[in-house]
Amino acid sequence: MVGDIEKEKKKVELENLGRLVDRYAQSRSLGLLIPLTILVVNIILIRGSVELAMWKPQIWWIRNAFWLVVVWVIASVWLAVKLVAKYEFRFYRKDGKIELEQERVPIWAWAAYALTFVGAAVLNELEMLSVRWALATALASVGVFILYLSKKHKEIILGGVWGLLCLAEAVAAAAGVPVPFVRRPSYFASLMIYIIGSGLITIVMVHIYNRKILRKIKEMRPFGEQHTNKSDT
Amino acid sequence: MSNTQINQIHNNINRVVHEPVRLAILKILTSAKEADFNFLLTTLGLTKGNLATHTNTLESAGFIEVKKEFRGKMPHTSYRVTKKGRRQFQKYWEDMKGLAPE
Repeated sequence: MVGDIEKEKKKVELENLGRLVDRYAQSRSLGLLIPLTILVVNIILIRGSVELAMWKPQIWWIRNAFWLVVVWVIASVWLAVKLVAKYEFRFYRKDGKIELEQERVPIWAWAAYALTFVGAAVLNELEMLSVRWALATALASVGVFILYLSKKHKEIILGGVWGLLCLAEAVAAAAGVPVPFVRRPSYFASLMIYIIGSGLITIVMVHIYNRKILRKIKEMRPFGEQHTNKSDT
Repeated sequence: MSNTQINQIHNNINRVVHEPVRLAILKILTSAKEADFNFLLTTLGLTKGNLATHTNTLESAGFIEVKKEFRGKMPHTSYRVTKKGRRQFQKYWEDMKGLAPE
């Protein structure tokens, strides 16, 4: 009887281990740093080169600097794709790698996302939609799509936090809450601030959570006492 | 449950799965699609030799698949559970449930 109770306890312990491993795998956020960093650098460079070109358009190297930036932006997007493909979540190299089963995102989901996201920008450009509502629509579109993507790609904790933050920002934008760091309301600047801001907050929050989960797994060590390389037969 | 039935379950228990470390390895691999050697090492807190011994046993029984490759100059080993391994793992818990006090 005592043996049977021990077996049940072991099963519960193993179930907990499985759950923690699942949560750990779904809360890896450092991979987001590569695209977000490259996005921030590119925005600063594009904005800087445009300002420079408007300030002193007669100086030849300033005119050409803009084209250099265009070349850099194309190269950096290629670099980001390569880096993400190579390193993925292996910022966690010392902790090893784990992959969960992923599902394919259907074309209709990509199409719906692209339509609402680009549609909001186009309608705003044509002055058919105010900055406030275009921003709210685009952020809601990003939020819903991230939530859906995270479910399919088994990154529920990472996507859950980022998606919900985007949706909260969409509500704030619709309510007319002023965008931080933006003096004049501008669709593109506000959108970038919201998406990059929520992305960075997500990375920090989810990374802290991920480390906590890993610590719990390590503390659990259900069979950690078996350190010796003894025969298992 | 009669003693004969209990004895039958005892005799049918898969000894490869029954070992605690291998149970934990199977649990992790059934929760994931694939995990590498370092991940199992980190989560289970075993020595490299011990983990290698247990994964070899599971591989010999056909319960897990091992993929060895080089990433640059570094060898990289990853594991995934086979259908047979998943089935045996499920069966093991069902057998255990049969032994649990009512």
